[in-house]
Amino acid sequence: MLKNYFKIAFRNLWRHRVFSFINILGLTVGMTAGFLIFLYVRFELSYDSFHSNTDRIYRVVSDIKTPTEVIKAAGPNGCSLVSIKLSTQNLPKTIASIENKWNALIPARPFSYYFLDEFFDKQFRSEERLGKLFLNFSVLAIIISCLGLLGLASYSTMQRTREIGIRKVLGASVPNIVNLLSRDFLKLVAIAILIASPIAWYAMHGWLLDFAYRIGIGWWIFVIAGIMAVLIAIATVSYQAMKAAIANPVKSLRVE
Amino acid sequence: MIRINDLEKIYKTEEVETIALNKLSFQVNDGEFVAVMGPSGCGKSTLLNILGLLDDPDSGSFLFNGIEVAHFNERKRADLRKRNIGFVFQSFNLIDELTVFENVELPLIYLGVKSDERKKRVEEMLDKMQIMHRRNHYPQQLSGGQQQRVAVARAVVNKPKLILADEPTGNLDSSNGNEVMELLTDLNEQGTTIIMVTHSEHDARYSHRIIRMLDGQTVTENILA
Repeated sequence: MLKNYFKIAFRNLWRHRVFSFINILGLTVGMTAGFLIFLYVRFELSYDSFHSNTDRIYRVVSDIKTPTEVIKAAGPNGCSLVSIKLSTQNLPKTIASIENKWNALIPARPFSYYFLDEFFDKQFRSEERLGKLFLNFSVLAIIISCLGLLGLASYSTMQRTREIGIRKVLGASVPNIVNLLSRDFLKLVAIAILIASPIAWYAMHGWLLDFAYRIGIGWWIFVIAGIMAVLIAIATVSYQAMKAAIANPVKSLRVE
Repeated sequence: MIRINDLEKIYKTEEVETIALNKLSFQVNDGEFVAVMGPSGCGKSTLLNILGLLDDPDSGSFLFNGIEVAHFNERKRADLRKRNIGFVFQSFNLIDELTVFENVELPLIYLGVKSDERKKRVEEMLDKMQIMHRRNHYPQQLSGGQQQRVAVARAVVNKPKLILADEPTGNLDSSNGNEVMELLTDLNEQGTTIIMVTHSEHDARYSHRIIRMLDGQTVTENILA
């Protein structure tokens, strides 16, 4: 019995092989993206977790002028992080002097340091990495959506074969039919754009708030993204629509 | 109106070759009502598809109003079809998602008729077919006879010169069937040429002439009127 079920299932897959191929491909890309996202999130969560007291790292800003005062303020039981504004002239000497003071005042804690500009640089490098990651996942998301749209288009065309045949018999031209089929999908894309734009704006706005100097989010960004989405959808759907429109109506009406 | 000569149509699959039309020739004059009869598989529907410009013949000539149309391209065929030919099918072939009014309106949309004019013509036609009270209903809500009347209304709303009917009473009971045949006869009396494929001798008697086919060829022709 089970063998029979599999045989019939495979036969059906083979009969609608284009449709099956698109679906399987979509599922594969979707699952791959899912795994990648899972691995990425796991990696990000594990990042920096080797500091045993991660939650006790503080940054202290104060207007104390001399290194001695700063280190005193940090104190043996105070914070472990101190920010100091330095003159860049003779930097190694200044650092060595700070280290001496630190070791004299808080011998129990080892002295280590970094420069804020290097720290910012590192932070932007992570933003850059985030940007690259977003780009990759966006491309993946677009591919998955296109495959979904293609699957939906081929399914809907299959469902509407008889209607397309009737319309052709009544005098519909190939552009009429392509227009009819594409219009439905463009409605979906338009709805998607309407939902996505405010969410994208909100997320972008939130992200940009992290930066001291930031760009504005112009309305034209959403217009360009929308036009691109429409063009990609047209390119995806048009093949199925053309195929259906060119097909001989006699065949589609005979199926009945 | 129609003259076909040595029309041939062969269906090929990987192993089998079926001759649907075998050097078929005949002529149909303006205003005639012709019934085409024959057993299943004799090529009646293939003939109707070719006459309706839905399918291409493999060879032979097909003159429609004196113009050779056998190898017209898709665009020209669609254009000629929507201006000159109306179809009535056995299974009605109404679009389920559209109302009665919208179904009948469809050929006029493809002809590019303006909205006001469309409304006027569709309402006139629905009135004539006595289905005006059903204008906002969907095909599933109608009886078989009513659905076929909608289909006939749709076929004639653009005032075609030729109506091709493929077993128009095949899915109807006898009283609804007779009604549809009366409708076709009326249309014919108003000047529309009708070619009807049928299995029913009773329906065929409404026509002027019966062409009997066998294995893709004409066997006999009976003139009734």
